[in-house]
Amino acid sequence: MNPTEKAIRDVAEETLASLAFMFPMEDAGGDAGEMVTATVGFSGPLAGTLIVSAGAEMLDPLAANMLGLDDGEALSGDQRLDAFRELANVICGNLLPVVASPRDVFNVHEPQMVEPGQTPTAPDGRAPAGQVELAMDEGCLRLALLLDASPAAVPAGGGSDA
Amino acid sequence: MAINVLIVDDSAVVRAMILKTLRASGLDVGEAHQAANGRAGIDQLSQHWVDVAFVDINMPVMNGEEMIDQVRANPVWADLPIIVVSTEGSETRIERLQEKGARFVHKPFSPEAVRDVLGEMLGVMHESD
Repeated sequence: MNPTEKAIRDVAEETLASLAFMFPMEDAGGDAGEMVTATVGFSGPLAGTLIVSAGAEMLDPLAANMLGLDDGEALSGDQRLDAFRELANVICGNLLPVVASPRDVFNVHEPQMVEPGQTPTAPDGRAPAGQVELAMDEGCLRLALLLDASPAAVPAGGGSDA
Repeated sequence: MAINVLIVDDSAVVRAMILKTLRASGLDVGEAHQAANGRAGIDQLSQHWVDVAFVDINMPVMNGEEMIDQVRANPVWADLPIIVVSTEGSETRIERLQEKGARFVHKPFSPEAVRDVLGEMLGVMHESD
């Protein structure tokens, strides 16, 4: 796991715990089934996209936990996707100061849902700067950070102090 | 005394979370107005008396910083207590917002963080403290 992937993992774990009371387990992997994907673009000292994919079964508990709903309280489809987009937004917003510098200013764009098969790839076919998979009781979460700049632009120590 | 609030965030789920947090903290919430971007937030301020505004930063149409600039430039709202609730992690931007008189609560937020900042801003004391 490179420093960027450690940063992604640390920020995602902290966000899931604080925002939705979800706690990743040690062993990720396996067939995740149907996935939904959101992307969050950003520009500034680093530019790129954070791709966040979740097992479809995770959307209900995610939204219910964020809203503090009691068992049996109904959720709308809009709330499920809104909660998922917000999860992606919070992870991205918290990740950028870690992989860049705390004083850098970024513009974080509105999270967008992505149709199956339309997930963006890194420019020039490069590998993502980091990709991580987390498994929870509620489902799995996959994250990939694509950077428009060259991989060398990522601070080597990024994330080590997260 | 009931406090009228304005919550500006492009996520309806986050708006609901903030409102639920305020009510759970024991604050006597009067009217709760909501808007999905800074422009709509300004419109809400034009129509309703608000005691405190919770404002996100990254929003479409008009972001939170632009909204705060417009609020501070208007003599009627210039002293409105504003609490920024955002994922913003840039020390540079946070300092800039604080210079504009806004307080900051970082997402993901705890109910205690919102309650404490609000209490400091409004001098609201809670029996649970």
